[in-house]
Amino acid sequence: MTAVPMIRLAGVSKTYRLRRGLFGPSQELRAVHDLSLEVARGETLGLVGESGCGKSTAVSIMLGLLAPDAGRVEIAGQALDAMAERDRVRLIQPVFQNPNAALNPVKRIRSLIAQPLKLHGGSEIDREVARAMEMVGLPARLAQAYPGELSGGQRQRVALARALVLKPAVLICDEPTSALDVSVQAQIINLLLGLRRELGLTMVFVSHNLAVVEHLADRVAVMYLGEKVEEATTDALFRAPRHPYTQALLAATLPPDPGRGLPELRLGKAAADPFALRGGCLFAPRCPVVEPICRSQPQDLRRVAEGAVRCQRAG
Amino acid sequence: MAERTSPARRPRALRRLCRNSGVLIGGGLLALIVLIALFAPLLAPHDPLAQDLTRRLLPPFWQERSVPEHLLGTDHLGRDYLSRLIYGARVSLGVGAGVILVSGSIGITLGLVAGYFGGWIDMVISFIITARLSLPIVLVALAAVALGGASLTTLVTVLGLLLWDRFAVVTRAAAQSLRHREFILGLRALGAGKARILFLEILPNMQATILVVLSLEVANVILLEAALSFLGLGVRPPTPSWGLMISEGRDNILFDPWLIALPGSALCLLVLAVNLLGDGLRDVTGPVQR
Amino acid sequence: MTESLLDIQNLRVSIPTERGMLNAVRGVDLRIGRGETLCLVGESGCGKSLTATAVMGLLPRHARITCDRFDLMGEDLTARREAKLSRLRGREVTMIFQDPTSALNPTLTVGRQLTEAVRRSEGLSRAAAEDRAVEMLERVGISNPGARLAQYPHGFSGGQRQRIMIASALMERPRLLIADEPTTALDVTIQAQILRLLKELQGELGLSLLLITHDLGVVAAMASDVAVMYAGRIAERAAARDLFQQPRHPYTQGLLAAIPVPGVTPRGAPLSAIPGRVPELIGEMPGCAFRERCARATPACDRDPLPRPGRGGGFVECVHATEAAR
Repeated sequence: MTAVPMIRLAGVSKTYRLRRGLFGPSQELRAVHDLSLEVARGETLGLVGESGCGKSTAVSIMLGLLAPDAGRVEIAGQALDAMAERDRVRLIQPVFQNPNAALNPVKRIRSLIAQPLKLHGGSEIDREVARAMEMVGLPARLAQAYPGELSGGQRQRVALARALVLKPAVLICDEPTSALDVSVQAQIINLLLGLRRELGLTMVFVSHNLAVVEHLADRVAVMYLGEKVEEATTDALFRAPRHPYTQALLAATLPPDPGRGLPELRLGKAAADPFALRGGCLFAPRCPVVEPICRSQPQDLRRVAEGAVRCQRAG
Repeated sequence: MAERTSPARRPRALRRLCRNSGVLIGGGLLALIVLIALFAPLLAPHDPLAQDLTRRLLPPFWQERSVPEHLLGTDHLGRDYLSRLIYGARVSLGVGAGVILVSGSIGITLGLVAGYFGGWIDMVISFIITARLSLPIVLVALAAVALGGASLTTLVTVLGLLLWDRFAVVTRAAAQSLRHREFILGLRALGAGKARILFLEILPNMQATILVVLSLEVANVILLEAALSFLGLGVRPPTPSWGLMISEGRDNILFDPWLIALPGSALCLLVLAVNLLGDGLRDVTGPVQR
Repeated sequence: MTESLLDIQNLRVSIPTERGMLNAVRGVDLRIGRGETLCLVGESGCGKSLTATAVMGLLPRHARITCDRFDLMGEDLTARREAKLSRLRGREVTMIFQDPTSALNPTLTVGRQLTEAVRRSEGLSRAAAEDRAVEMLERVGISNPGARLAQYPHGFSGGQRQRIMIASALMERPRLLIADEPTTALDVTIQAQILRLLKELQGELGLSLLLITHDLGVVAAMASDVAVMYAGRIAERAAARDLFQQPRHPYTQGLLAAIPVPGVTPRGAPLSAIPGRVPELIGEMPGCAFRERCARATPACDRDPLPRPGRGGGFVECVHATEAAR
C-alpha cells in the first residue's frame, strides 16, 4: 500500500499579471506551471533552480500564503484551502533565507519565539520557549536580546526555534543557509540534520546550492522557469543527471578542487527570460543539444526509472 | 566561546538618550512648558481674564513705570500678561496634541494600509493624498470656521482632518519597503491577522521616521494655530492664546513692542524645543543593527 | 616567482566607530605577480573587501589607512600625493563589484557610462571612445554591441550587466582588475560563464586579477595563489594547489572541512563546523585571533604568531601549523 504523502501538489499553476502604471499594458508572468510534487512523511525533498524558476512561488503556495490559479495542494491528505488556519499552522512552518529580514528587529528574542504560541493559544509559554531555545542550541541568556545583537548564525537559530515551537510536522526551508558564512552554514546544516532525526520532520529544502541539497535531500526536483524539468532520487540525479539543464547546473557547481578547472557549459549567452515563452521547450534557447523540434513543441514530463524528466532527448 | 552579548537595548538607548544634547535641551524645555501649562492655575499670579481698565498697558519689569504685581505688565484691557502667557501655553500644547492625535491616526492608518496592501487600495489612497495636497489649508480652515463658527473644537477638528498628509506619505513608503520582508511572510504563515501585522509588527519599525514627522507637524500645528488665531479664525477672545495675543498687540506695536515680542518668543521657544527633541530622538532611536 | 605588479606591505585600515576603533585590516602583505590571479578568501567581516577598497583608494573619508610600502608596477607610491595616486589607480587598477545592478547608473545609456572615463582621462574623441566601447563589449560577449550602446542598463539581464561592468573596467586597459565577489549575485550557470570570461580576458590581455570571494569553489576554479584572511590578517597564503591539497592553518582546514562535497562527504553525516563566531575587531587584539575557536590552541597562541614560510613564497601564521610537505 502507499501511504498518504505529507505534501502533495497536483498540477499547480500560478500566473502573475504585471501592469505598468494604471493604464499600461499588462504582461503575464508564468511563475509556476503544472507543478506536481509529493513528499512522503519523514522525507526531505530538495527543490533546486535558479532565480525566476518559481521555487519561491511554490513555497508560498505550499504555506498557503498564495492561492494557486489551478491545481490542488494537500497537506497530510487534507486539501490546504479547506484546512482551518490553526491546523495548517501547526502542521507546516517556514524558515526563510535571510535571518536579518526574517525577524522583526524591534522584538526581543523571547517574544519572537513565543509569538506562534501566543497567536495559537499555547500553554506554558515560558517552558516551551526555553525548550525550543535549548533545542536549537541558543543560550538562555539571549532571550532578552534583540535580533540586531545576534550573529547571523544565532539569528537563523532563532528563526528555527520559532518555526519549531508549535511542533509542526513539516518544515519548508527557503535557502536557510545562503546568507551564512561557510563555517556557520555547517553549524546550521548539522542542526537541521539533528532536528530532522529527533523530530521526524518532513522537509522541503529549497536552495540553489547543489552541494548543500545533495547533503540533505533524499529526492531532488529541479525547476526551470516555473516548470519541473527533472525529478529523481538524490543519488540518481547526482550520478546521472538526465535533463540538459540539470547537467549544466551540476557542471556549474564548483567543488573545492583546483584540479577540476572551470567547466565549459555551452549554454550560450541567452538568459532565462520568463516573459519570452514561445511554444517549445522553455530551455531550448540555452540548450546545448537543442533540435529544431524542441523549439516548436512543448516537452512533456515523462516517467523514467527513478523519477521524471521533461526532455525527449534525455536518456 | 567567543560570543559576547551586549546589554539589552533599552538601557543602552536610555544612556544614549541622555548623551544627546538635542534631546536634553529640547526635552527639558518642552517638559518645562508642559509643566507650566499643567499647573497654570497654581503658577499664574492673576486670573488671565480679569480686566482692570485702570491699569492698561503696564510695561514689564525691566522698564520704568512697571508694577511689581504685574511682572510682565498688562495688555490693552489691563489683563495680567504673565498669567495670559501661562494659560496660553495650554492652548498651544492642547491644540498641538489634539491635532496630532487626529491627523496622526488618520495619516498613519491610511499610509500603512496603502503601503501594505498596494494595488487598487494604494491607488485610491494615493488619490486621496493627492486630493488633500491640492487643498490650501488656510482657505479650507477659513471656510470651515465660517460654517462652524470659530472655536477650539472646530480648529482642532479642521486641522486634524487636514494635516495628515505627511504622516500618510511617510508611512506608506515605509510600509512598502517592509511588507516584503521575510518576517512578514513568516507571520502570515503563522496565521497572524492583518491588523496585528500592520499595527504591532510593521508600525513599531517606523518609530524613528514617525517621530521626525511628528515633531515637524507639532511645530507646524502650533504655528498654524497662532496664525489662524491671529487672523481671528482660531481661538476666540477672551481665551488666552499666543497667536491671539500677538494679534491683539498689533495695534500697539509701535509703542509697546513687548506685547508682541513676549508671546512671539514663547512660541519660538516651544517650536524650537519640539524640533530639537524630534531631531534628537531620531538620532537615538531606530533599530540597532550590528 | 614572477615580477610583482602590486606589492603592499603591512596594510592597516582602521575605522572609528561608536564603540571604539575598529581595526578591520591589521597588517596585510599583498603581492600580486603579473598575469597572476590572487584570490582573497574569507568570511564576512574578515577585511577582504576593505583590503581591496583600500588598494583602490575608495575607502570612506573617516577610515585611517597606513602601509609600509605601496608599489605599483615597480613604482613606489607610498609617499605620492593622493591626486596622482588616484589617477594611477584609475588607469592601471580598476574594480568590479558584487552587484552589477547598483553599480550601473540606470538613467544613463550604457555607451555613455562606458566612454565617459576614457574620454576624460585619455582625451579620446567621442567616436574613438565608442569604437573602443564596442570592441570591449564584443570582447565580453555582448552581441550586437554597436546598437546596444544606446540602451539603458535595465534592458540587460543580470549576467549581461556584469559583462558590461567588466567591459567598463577594461576600457582604460588596466594591468590589475580587482573583482569583489563578482558572481555572488548571479545564478550558478551564469557564474561559470562570467568566471570563464574573466579567465579568458586575463590570458588575452595579460591582466592580473585580485579576486575577492567567500566561495572556495570559485577559488579552486580561478586562483593561482590564495590568501586566506581571518580577522583582518592573512592567516595563510599558498599556491592554490598546495592550499587545497594540504592546508596548513587550522582555520583553512576548518573551512575546507565545513563544505559538503557531493560524492565525497557522506550524505546526511554531520559536517565539521567551526564552533563560535568571528571576533569583533574593536581595539588591540594581541595573540592569534583564531585561538578561541581553534582545537589546537595552547597558551603559546596568546603571543602574536610569526609567519612561517611555506613553498613558493607562501606562509602560514600559526604556531601549530601543519608542516609543509617537502
